[in-house]
Amino acid sequence: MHPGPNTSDVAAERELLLVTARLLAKEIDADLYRALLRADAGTSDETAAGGEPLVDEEIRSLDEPRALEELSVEFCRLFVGPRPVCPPYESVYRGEAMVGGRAERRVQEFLRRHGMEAVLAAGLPVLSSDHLAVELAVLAHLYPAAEDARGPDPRAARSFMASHVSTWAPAYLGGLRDAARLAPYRTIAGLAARLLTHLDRRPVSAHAAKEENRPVP
Amino acid sequence: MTGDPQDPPDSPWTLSRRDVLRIAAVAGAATAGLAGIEIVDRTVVHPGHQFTPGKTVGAVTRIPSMCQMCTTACGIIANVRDGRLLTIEGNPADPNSQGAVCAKGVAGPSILYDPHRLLHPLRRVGRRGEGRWRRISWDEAYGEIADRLRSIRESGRPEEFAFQQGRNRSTDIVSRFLNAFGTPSVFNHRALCSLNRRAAILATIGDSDWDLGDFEKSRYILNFGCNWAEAHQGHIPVAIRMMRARERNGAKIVTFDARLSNTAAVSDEWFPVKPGTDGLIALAMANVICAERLWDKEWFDTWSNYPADEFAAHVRRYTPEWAASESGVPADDIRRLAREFAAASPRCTTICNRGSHAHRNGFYNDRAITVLNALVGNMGQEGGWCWHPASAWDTGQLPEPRPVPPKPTARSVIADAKPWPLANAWQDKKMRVGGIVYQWIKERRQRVSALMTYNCDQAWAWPEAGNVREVLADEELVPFHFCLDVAYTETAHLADIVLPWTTYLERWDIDSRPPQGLVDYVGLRQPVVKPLGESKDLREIFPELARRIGGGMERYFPWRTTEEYLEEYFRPIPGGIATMRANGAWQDPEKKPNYRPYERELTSEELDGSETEDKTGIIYKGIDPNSKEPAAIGIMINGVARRGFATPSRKLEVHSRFVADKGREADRTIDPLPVYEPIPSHGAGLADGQLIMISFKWNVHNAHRTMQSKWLQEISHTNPAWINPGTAERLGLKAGDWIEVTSFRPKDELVPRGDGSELGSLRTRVHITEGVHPSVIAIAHNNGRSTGGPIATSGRDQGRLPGHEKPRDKDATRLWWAGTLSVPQNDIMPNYPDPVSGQQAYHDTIVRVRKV
Repeated sequence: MHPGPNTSDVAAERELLLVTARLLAKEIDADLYRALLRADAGTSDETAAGGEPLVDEEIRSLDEPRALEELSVEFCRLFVGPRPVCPPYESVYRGEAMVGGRAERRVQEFLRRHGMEAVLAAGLPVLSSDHLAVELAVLAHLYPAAEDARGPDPRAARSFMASHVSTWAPAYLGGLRDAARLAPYRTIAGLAARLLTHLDRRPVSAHAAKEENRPVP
Repeated sequence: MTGDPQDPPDSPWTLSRRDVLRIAAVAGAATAGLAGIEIVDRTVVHPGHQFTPGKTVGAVTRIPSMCQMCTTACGIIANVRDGRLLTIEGNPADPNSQGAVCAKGVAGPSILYDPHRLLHPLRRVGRRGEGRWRRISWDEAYGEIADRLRSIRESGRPEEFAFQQGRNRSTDIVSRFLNAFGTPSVFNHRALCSLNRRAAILATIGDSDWDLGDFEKSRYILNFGCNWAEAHQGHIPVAIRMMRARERNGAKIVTFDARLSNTAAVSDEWFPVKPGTDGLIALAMANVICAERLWDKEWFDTWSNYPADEFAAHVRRYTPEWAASESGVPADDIRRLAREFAAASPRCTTICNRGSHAHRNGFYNDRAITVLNALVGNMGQEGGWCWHPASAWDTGQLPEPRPVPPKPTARSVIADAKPWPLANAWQDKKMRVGGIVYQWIKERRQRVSALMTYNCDQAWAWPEAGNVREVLADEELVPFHFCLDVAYTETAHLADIVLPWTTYLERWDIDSRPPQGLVDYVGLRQPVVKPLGESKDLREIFPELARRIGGGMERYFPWRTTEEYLEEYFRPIPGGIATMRANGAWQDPEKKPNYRPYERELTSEELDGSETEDKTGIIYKGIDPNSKEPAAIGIMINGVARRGFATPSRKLEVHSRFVADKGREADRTIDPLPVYEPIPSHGAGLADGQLIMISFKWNVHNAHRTMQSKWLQEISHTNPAWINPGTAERLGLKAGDWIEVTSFRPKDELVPRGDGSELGSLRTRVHITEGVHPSVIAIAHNNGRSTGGPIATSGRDQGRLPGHEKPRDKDATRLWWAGTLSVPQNDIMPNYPDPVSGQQAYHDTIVRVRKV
């Protein structure tokens, strides 16, 4: 059995899940936009080595209000609509005719079974708990538990991955990467797609495997 | 970064150092509060303890409410579990629909949870119609709209704020806001629907603008082109009573229609008729009834204002042979049906909404049909041709909560529509001429500084819809346009701000429809689930806008919540709003059906202070506040003071001087008697390749929003052209052939732009069927959406992500009609208002058909 990733990798992966959830959940605000600019600037040497930027040059050339408006338009186009290009709902992705369909009920069931609740702030364009931002937030919440014993139920993350995230999110994020016209969405979706693909393929650590076989009390 | 979905399964993968650094740099700002999503730990609930997949969790709550998938407003019961709507069924407590509900009604959940619904306020970015939007807060939306409207109101030209409504079942709050604002520029779609029918009934009986055949007790029903089994305003309430009449009374139903609709299919006899000849058939039947003295002469001479013998002389020229040559219905059948109809009297009636009247001669058609009933004496009789004075609830019993704003004093050139004398001829029955609104804006006849579109897709649904789109796209003609709708439409696409509207399942209304049982009632539409996303209803939006606009508007909205307002509205009902919430509808048990209201004897109190005119027997009392003339309250009949009809003569007006006078005022000739006026462009016979295009509606569709429903689109999603086999042979067409249909404006000097010019073309396929008249090409109009997602557009508008892998859910593969034929008929439907009323002539368009 392969050893699991080291602690710093786990922390970085968890942060990527949270950043992705943030990008999917609402428009980029001024604080986040500045952080994206700083992140690109702080790693410029490596960006030059072939990496994808977090902010496109054409956006960077605009004044901040205009840049934020362009990013808002892209957010709307991708996730909100009218006619969202990439509706970020598992139910919709699975072809159900309605939002909040069977996939949402299964997510709700999972949260209930594991004693969790997704609390959404007012005004978010997140209609139901099968929104990918919620699923990634749930996964991040459970994430350490997948690899060590510090969580409430080490099997939960694997189970959530298997029953929800893996079934659609890598492909969805791959599609988002292709459909997005602006860098934050394109770049982060690409990274997250790869992370989720490899999380799905990553062998279970000895400890996690042991925990997975533990009977439910 | 390493790793790719194509990497071997056991290849190592980690984030690159650069990505780790970048994500870490972003994470602080990104995850502060995690975008408003917080995953919190609660007490663990073990599987099977409270939640078992596939089984009911707790009780299903049954919530009575009212449908609004179409205009019929049937009573419904919503089955809700854990805040989610599961199913919809009929509410037996609703006096009109009595527990029945149609396919559209049960499809409500597919509209509520439509993934392409509008759920957040949006502001356009870039030029109008470019399709670029950003999400805005309600506060920002309110702010901009209120600033615009306040500026218009303070300019002293409130009419520059125009309101375009489609299906409006919140009439109280809409009127309250618009009257408080002071704008008369209210554009409804009545001329695109029922105007002629209403005008004909008002001219004839005065009491009402809507006939309610007492079908349940009837033994014989003549249907002139009405599709009551599929799409009528009274759809389900009418259909259940028709079916009971057949089962219980052995009633016979005879349908005249250019097309074999599902209504025609459930009739005992169907006669395909040439469009625009219904009135001639009715007059020919009247001819037979008079000639053979099958009439109720006593009733006619007593209660109508035209002697039966003179009417017999009037209809003598309308022979069955002439009617047969024009309509295609054999003369012998016309005679037979006339005899059967008269023999069944008084338990016989007619129905004709949206069939006979949606013609260039529709006013006369419906006058002829209405008077045919009077001739056999079935007016107001059990099983006969009936009506009710209330088109909704009894406003005397349930008055509008005060303070109520006064009606506007400003005038709107477009709303007044003066060239069409019968559109707005009756007080409190303003019908407008919807078809000319956008042409007149284009011609700058009235300035529109702000336009609000409410539950309407005029850019798709209006005749000459391309013209509407052109006007809405012009920021000079319409400087500000905001739109409130459930779905993204062709019209929303041309707005500056789009507001997400609640579905009828998430909001409140006081509502009811003309009572098919002839006793008025009132219903409650209440939220069965919480509004999805950030959607809001007018009842929340208008009070907030009024407060922000200010200037006194706000004082007409003193209620803190809609529920508080409705509590006041329903207070006169025993148990108040609690009764309504529990039952969904209420009917006063003391009230009786509205039979023979004209016979009612006036009370001594009513007669006190009255005067009777010797020559006419009309009883007057006081002054009419509108006309400033003495107010008629009744008529002496055989020495008894009776109520009579609410017409100028207090009798049923076979001869209407009122309409003739209205015509003269507008320089239009309106015959005071029911006559047959051939459609100008139909009369001389059709040239080779020419047909008359008619429009129709399927039973599963209504307006633009039903096309958002996957459940309904799955049933009906395409619109080939129906053509008769004989016609197809003549044109060299086979089933499935592609054809080009080119439409022409009418050649009619009394119609705007009536020069006979070519309007536009569409391409569709041929459906060959005996179920259509040989002179006709029939195309359903509930198709051809260009926006609104893949369901509404048969896959043309791909809201889904290109490149998605094939979904695993079977439901996804059921968009099996993607790419099927679906063409917008309204784009080639000319604006064709009946010169006397403004009613759109939907079934009179001349087209050229060519195989391609």
